[in-house]
Order: sequence, then C-alpha cells, then structure tokens
Amino acid sequence: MRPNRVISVLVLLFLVFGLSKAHAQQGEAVLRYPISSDPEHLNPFTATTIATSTVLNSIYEGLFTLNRATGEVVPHLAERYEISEDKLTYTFYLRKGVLFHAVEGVKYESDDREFKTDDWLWAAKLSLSKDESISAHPEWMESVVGAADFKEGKTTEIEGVKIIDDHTFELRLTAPNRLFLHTLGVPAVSREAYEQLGPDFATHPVGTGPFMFTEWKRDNYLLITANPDYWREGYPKSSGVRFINIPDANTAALQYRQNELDFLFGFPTGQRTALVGEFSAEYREMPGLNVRYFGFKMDKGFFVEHPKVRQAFSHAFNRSLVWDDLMEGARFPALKGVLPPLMPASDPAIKYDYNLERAAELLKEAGFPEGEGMPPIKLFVFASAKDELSFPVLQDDLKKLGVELEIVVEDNTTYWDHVGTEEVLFFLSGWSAGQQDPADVFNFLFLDGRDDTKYNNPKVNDLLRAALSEFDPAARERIYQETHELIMADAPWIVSAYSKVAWLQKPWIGNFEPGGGGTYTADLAAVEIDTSKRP
Amino acid sequence: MSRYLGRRLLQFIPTAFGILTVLFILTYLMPSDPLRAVLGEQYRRLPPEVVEGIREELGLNQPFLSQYLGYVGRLLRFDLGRSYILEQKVIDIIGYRLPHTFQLMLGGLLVGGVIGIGSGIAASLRPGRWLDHLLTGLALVGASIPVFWLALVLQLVLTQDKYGAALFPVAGYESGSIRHLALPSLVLGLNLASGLSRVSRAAMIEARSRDYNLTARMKGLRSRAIIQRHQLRNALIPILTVLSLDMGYLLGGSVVTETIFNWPGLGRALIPAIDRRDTPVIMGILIFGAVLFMLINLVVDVLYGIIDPRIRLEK
Amino acid sequence: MTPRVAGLADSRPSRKRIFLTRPRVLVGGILIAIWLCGALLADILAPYPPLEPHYSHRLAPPDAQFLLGTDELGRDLFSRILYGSRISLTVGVVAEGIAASIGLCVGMLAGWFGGWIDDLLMRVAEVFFAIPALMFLIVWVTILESTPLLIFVGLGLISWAGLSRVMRAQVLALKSMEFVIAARSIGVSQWGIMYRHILPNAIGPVLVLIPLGIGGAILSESILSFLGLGITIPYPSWGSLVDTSRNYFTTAWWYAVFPGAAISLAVLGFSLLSEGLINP
Repeated sequence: MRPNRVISVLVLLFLVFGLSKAHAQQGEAVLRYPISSDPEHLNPFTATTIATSTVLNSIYEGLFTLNRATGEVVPHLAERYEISEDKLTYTFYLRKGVLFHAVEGVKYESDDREFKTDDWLWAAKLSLSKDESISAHPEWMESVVGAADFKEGKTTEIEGVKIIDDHTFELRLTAPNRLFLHTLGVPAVSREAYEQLGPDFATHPVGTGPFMFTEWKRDNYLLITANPDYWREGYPKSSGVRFINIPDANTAALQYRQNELDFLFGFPTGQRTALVGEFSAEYREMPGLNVRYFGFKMDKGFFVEHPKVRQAFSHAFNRSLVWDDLMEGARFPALKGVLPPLMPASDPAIKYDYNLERAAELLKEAGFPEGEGMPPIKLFVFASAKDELSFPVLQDDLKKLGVELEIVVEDNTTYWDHVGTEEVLFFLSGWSAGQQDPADVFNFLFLDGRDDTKYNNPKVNDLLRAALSEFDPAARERIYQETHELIMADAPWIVSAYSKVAWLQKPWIGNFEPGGGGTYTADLAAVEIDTSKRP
Repeated sequence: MSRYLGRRLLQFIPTAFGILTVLFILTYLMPSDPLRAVLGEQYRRLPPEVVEGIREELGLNQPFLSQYLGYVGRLLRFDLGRSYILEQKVIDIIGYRLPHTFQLMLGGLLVGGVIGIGSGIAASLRPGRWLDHLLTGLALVGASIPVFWLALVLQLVLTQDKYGAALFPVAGYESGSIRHLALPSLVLGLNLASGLSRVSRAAMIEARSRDYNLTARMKGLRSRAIIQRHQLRNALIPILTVLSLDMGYLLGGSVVTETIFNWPGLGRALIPAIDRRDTPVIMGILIFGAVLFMLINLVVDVLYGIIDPRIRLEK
Repeated sequence: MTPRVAGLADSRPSRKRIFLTRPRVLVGGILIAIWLCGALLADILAPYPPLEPHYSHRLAPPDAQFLLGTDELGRDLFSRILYGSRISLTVGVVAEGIAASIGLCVGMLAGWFGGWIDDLLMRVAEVFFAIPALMFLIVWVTILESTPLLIFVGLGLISWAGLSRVMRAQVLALKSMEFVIAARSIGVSQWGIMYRHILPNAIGPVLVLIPLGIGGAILSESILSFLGLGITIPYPSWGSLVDTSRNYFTTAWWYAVFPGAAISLAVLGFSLLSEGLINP
C-alpha cells in the first residue's frame, strides 16, 4: 500500500464519518440553555443533585411549588388544601384533568392518563422504600403517621394516609410541622412508565410537567419538548429546551458571545467585569441563598478552647476586598451574619467587621500576642473553589497578625471525606438554602451538630426545635433572631460571602425569573422566546 | 505469517492481564465514596442512613481479593459492570463515546499525517538548506508547546469574531458536522505533526542513501517517481512505528482536547468519573484504552510484515 | 508523547567539542543553563516574594516595576515564574531520573539474563507501555493526592518502558562481543561484567534520550496542572500558573503568555539538547 493511498483512504473514512448526518433546528423556538454538568440520571426518586433538578423541574411536578420571590408554598397539582385546627390533619384536593405525558412504549388502562390520588399514593409509598437504590428521599413522608412502620415493612399501608376519592385525600402528621408542605416532595410520576420501562425509566422520565423528555446525548445535550396536553393554558411558551453541556465557564462565555447560547449562567473568574461591560443590557442579578464560610471545628482541637482566636480571625478577614474588588462582585461580602440577607432574622447585632486592630487585641487576650505561641494552622479547601481568592487574602491578613496559615487544596471527594474527621480543624465550606426560611440554614447546619464544624449548642437546639412548631411568623422571627445572636457570639464560622444569582440572557428571551436558590429554579415553561430576533 | 500472528496473540494475554491487575490495584486504592463526591456540600441534606445504605449496596465494604476476583470473573464474560452513579452499563458508556473519540483520532491523524509527513518530506529534499532548517525548527517548537495552551489560543482566534475570525463553532459535538470536528482535529494534528515531521525527514534521508536509488536512476526513473515508489515505501516503517505510538498519545491526549472542546468522547468521561469516584467507569475506560492501544500495535506489527516480508522471518 | 528514537551514538566526539560543533546542543544547553540559574538563584533574582500580594496593582501589564506584569492578586509574575521553575525543573529531572533508573535496570537484566527473566520483564514493560500515560497519571494523582514526590514517582513509573527497550537492545548487542566473552572466561563475576563492561558501553544511547524525557515530564506535569491536578505547594508550578491564567486569557494577555512561554522554552531547550546529541 502506498502512502498516498493510505492518505486517500483516511480522507474517505473521515468524510464518511463526518457527513453521515446533516443538522438543522435554527428557527425553532427551542431555548439553548447551558448546563455545567450532565444530570447523573433522571429518576426523581433517587435524584439528589442540582444537575438533575435543573432538568427534572420541567418534567415532574409536585402538589405545591414555591413562590420564588417569597419562598411560600403555592398550590400546584393540588388545587387547594385544608389544615385542621390542631395542625395535624391536611386535606388535599387534586386538580382535575392533569394528564401524564403521552409516551411511546407506555400504555395506560383504558387510555386514562389522568393523575389521581392512587398515583400519588403509589409514588409516596415508593419514596419510603427501604432500598436506597429505589428511593433516596424517605424525608418526603417522614412526618406522616405510620411512615416509619411502613418503611420497616411492618405494615402494607401508611396509617396516616386516607384516600377519600380520585381527587381527594388526607394526611395525618405525628406532630405539628410548619415546614411539612415544603418537605412533601412526592412528585406526580407515571406508575405505568415506572413499571413498563423498567431500568430505562431512570433515563426516560414520564411526568405531568410542561415539557416532555425527548432525547439525551450524554455530555452533549438533553432535549425536552413542549407537552401538548399541559394543564396550564398557554404554557409552555417555548417549543422546547435544549440543555447543552458545557462544563467550563470560559467556553460557555465564548459560545454565548457567538450566539450559540441563549443564556450564560457562570462568569469565569477574572472576566466578570469585562463580560458585564460587554453585555450590560443582557445582564441580570439578584441576591441568592447560598452562604460561604470558613468553619472551625467546634468539638475537638485547638479552636474549641480559644473562642477569642475564632473571633479574632473573623475580624481579620477583608471580605469586601475579596468579593467586591478581587472577585469583581461575584458574591456579596458577608458583612452581617450566617443567614443570607434575603431571610428574616438575617441581621444580628453581633457582627465581625474587618478590623485588624481589634483582631490583634483579641489575639492578645487569648494569650497569643502577635501570633506568638500559635500552633501551625491548616486551612482545607476543596479543588472546585481553587479560583476563589478568599483564602489567599485570609492568609495574607492573618500574616499581618503574625499567624502563619497553610492552605491545603484537596480534590472535592478527598475534601468531603476528610472534612468530617478530626484532622481538619479549619476549612472552607458553603451551604445552599432552598428557600427564604432560616430553618433551611439553621436546621441543616446548627441543629444537633450536623455541620462539619460539629457546632452543638443545647440552647440553640432548643430554640430551633421550638421554632419548628411556631406557626406565627413574627414570633418565629424573634426565636430565629435570638438563635442567630447566640451563634454569632460563639463564632463557629468566619462568614465569607452570600451568593449573587447573576446571568446573561439574550435580548430575544423574556420572562426568565429564577429565585434566590439559583438560576435552575426558574420556571422554564414561562420563558418566552422571539425567534424572529434570534440570528 | 500465521505463526507469527499466533505468537503475538499469545503474548497479548499475559500483558492484558498485567494491565488489568495494575489498574485494579490503582482504582481499588482510590478513596471512594461516590455519593459524597456527587453531592458535595448538599450531602448534608440526605439522611445519614441513606448515605450508609448506598455504600453497602455498592459492595465497597468487601475485601480486596473478593472484589478483584469478582471483577476478573465478570470481565471474562465481557461484563464491565454498571456505573455507580449514572444508571448505565459501562459497556454502553464506552460504546456511545468510542465513535466520537475515533472521529477525533482520525481527524487528528489526517491533519497530523498530511502536515507532518508532508513537511518531513519537503525538509528532506534538500537537507541543510533554509527550508529544512525552518521546518525542523518549527517542528521542534511545535513539540514544546503544551497542547492545551495551543488549543486555548486557537479556540480564541478561530472561533471569536472579537479576537479573530469565527471560522468554527466554539465547542461541542454535532453528528455529521465537519465544522465541529475541524478545530479539535487541528489541535491534535498539529501536536502530532511535529513528531511525524522529524521522523519522516530522517527516514527519507536514510532511505535516499540506499543503493536502490542508484539502481532506480539507472533504470531511468524520474526523481519524482523514485521518491514515490522507492523511498517512501522504505521510509514507511519508521513512520508507521511512530504513528502507532502516537495512537496511545491520541487516546490519552483526547482527555485534554475533548475537555476543552466539549467533545463527548472517552477521555471526557474520565475526569467526571474520577471526580465521582465511579470506579467501574474508570476501570472500563482505562482497560479499554490500553487494550485498544495494544491492538493497534498488533495491527501495525502485522502491517510491517506486509510492507516488508523480511520482518516476518526475524526473531 | 514525544517519540523516542533509538539512535546509536556510534561516533563520540570529545565532550568539549560537542558544544561547539553542534549548534542545537549549544542553544539547548544555554536555554537549560538559563533556567537552572533562574531556579537556583530565584531567592536573589526575584524582585518580590512569589506569594506577596499587591492588591492595588492587580493584573498590571508588564512595566518597569513588574517586569512581566502581575497576576490576579497583584503578585509579581516574573518572581512566580522563577520560583515555579524550581518545581517544574525538579519534576522533569526527578521523574526522568526515576524512569531512567528503572529503565536501565530492567533493560540490563532482561538483556543480560535472557530466557524467562527477559520474557517476564518485557511483558511488564509492555504493560506499562500500553497503559495510556495521561489517563494513568490522572488516576494516580487522584488516589495519592498531588504531593510533588508522588507526581515524580507516577511520571517515572509510566515512562520507563521505552528506555528499558533501548537498553535491552544495547545489552543484547554487547553480550556477544569479544571483550565480554573474554572477561567471562577469566572468571569475572556476572555482576562485575554488567557493572564494569556492559553498563558504560550501553548507557550512551539511553543517556541522550534523557533530556527529551525531562521535557516530556515537564509537559505532562503541565497537562495535569491544566486538569487541576498539578503541584501548587509551596508555590505553583508553571503548569498551575497556566491553569489559573486560563481565566485571564482575554483580559490579561501577559498572564496567559509568559508561563506558557516558560514551559515551551524549557522543553525546547531539553529537546534541542537531545536532538543535537542523537543526530550529529
């Protein structure tokens, strides 16, 4: 075989591979929506990540949704509901005429695709499966009477559930719980699809939502298209959404500039000012619900015995320099407390401003004048935050106090394995609340030492339990305010920043309205697109 | 020929087994909690009993030997297992991505082959002259530039109107789109070209110094014909050797190129799999890559025999 | 990634003349010497400590105060590149040193003893040859964390196989030479022959490949860094510098260009040296 023939064979192969299929879809009203990582799968019962929710939010619906501005629950597939005087019994009235997606390969008895109470009950029972590969969400139903017994297999029915008719049912709770409707996440899932598709169900979701699953090319794109039978009149406004997988924010920015995307959700560190300047008319921002912090281990080790050192560190961190200047406004510097500012009770009286003199004083009071006698201190950081300039600044600030800080960057998995152990006394971490309720921060991080700081203050625990059954908003805010002051006085965190939900959207996009939880919370069914303006 | 092939295939088995063992030990040592890896800070939302339950179910609490024997047993039945996280079989993950990686490798080979061999031949025509110096110099410099750096610069200059000309799409894969394939192929190809260029230059000069050139000239063949028929044929063996080694590089190098250009190939799947501690996927991709590389080398060995029958008799 | 060409260095000009008669060796040597000086004298040459921030001079372009500009915290890029050269050069030299030691030993043993030892060792070499290097390294680094020493060892482990083949071929050729047979016949021990007669005569072709390998190791480390797995302690390697600078490609060209150029110049130096030594 001669070389020139080898080359021509290669050319030929190349063309055969290359030209096998042509492409289309420019003029369609399909949103081009970047995602930074693929969903792991599309099974709502085992879904736990934001990547999965981003897609599933448009395919599956629950009885309620959250009002994105206030964080209150709004009836959705439940048309209305009633709560008994003792706050223990909830009656739900399902909306009529809600249909599951018509999907090839899934058959319904007498072609009846309507979502009814027994569909809901089936999903609720499945969510209580003991097998974690079937359900990772026992918390959805855990407040209902008999849920625990059912989960253990002691009963075949959940005692606290009472089906009244196809569209009405009752739930009885073990104790009053003002957050019950928030946690009641059971979605409307097609039982027929679950049973008939078998293992394929995990990649072929069938729900009642505004969009239907259409096609998924992993690490490339995932396409959902408008559900023609959708119950909300006139929705969805677009004909589909193409979730395009672009892990790197730099690449996404390049694609946005070339009109290959309709949105840009991540700003590469260092290009924020430039991009916002270049696309100022397309820039949107709002405060978010994520909080970033440096945590001290509060059960063992050096920092437990030295509260003044913790406070000194908190005073010694120039948050404004980091977030306003160096990070070009990627987040809001945390000048208040541990709660994101959208929440009630988020402005405690005890605060830690940037004050090196005060920090030096506190350090002296703690017995370490000018850092003398301090043991070596290591700060553990996870790799995906390596572009964050907060820790070099903290390192520099502490150096001014005479404290040497060593920074240990670990890849994400190693870090999360490590952070709970005794070796890690000081670490960078964060938390994303799902709604504007202080409970969504406090209960996950400060109740019974659940945070990796292991902060466990009995007073705080009592207050948080009391707040859970306090239905009066004003009284509740007072409890949370008190809790917040206690936590700030103990200083288990150096609060670094509150998130900013910021994005670019092309001029032909309208009505894209995410909540503080992040851009993924937006109702994509409402998003309008003017294809005549799209090049 | 068949005995030669048979011997080569027999050597293949212990090597493949060795690769399997080395890789298994590596991935076994990987600290592994796929669930936590996926969830990050949000793992605190999951009830602790769920986290523990999933660990047990994945068999992560079993001792090394039983995990290893189990894996080998399944592999002998061509079962690479299931991903811990993705609700997919590993074989499906590889099957879906392999054609994409092949396209990229082919594209890279084509670009690299044309530029590399072409410039090598051009440089060899008049060794020591300015064209030779220029091309050899370029090849050396080309081999010194980190591939990701080249990729980033080209991506900026060739896809953005703001910094150059938007000739190609920024990134992504579209089945059948040569425009999407062009830029990543160019990056891979340029990287290959420098090595190929140097080898083909040397091989051509070497081939020219042989006696048969004289014979050919005496037969009255024009020099163009000599280059084509005789010198190239003889220079082909070193070039093929380098190409087959480059295959290994292409497989590995695809991690970087695929990551930068969002190409849904094998290499691109590796990094997230490692981030998620998804051991079956990591093992699958690595074993597959190694075996593929060995197969390519086997084929090249056989090709040697076809090109030059003398080789078959050696050993 | 760079193919290793097994060339037999048959004619050996004296060491002094090599530099004068071969311009590539000369240029390569100078480039390497410059970087070596930079690395050794970083404490003296660097105008600023590599970790010292100058917030008000953040991302400043090159000027008299900051020769090569500053990075995202206003740290002097020139100083960082100088200190980075310590890490990057050490990676190259140590990793290739490990690879060469393994390669020499394995090649020697396989070539000298032959038989099943040869078969076994060459199968092992084949294993390490077939595993895609970059993929191996990525897994290696994630398992064992990115401490410098482990990156050296990983790089060494995955790149000795080629060298061992060259060494084996040399030993095989020397084994049947008269002086070896003579040494055997007068009762010199096997190890003595290997050490005193085979090694010095066989090592040449392996040695000339080493600079090429050093360059390859530097490039590999930079790729690992680009994937976020490189060395950042106590100060960043060149690869890590390029990795962080990726975010500033469009806003601070100097940050993107200089660390990349540092890698290229060092690798170029090593390749020139090897090339010049292999092809006179």
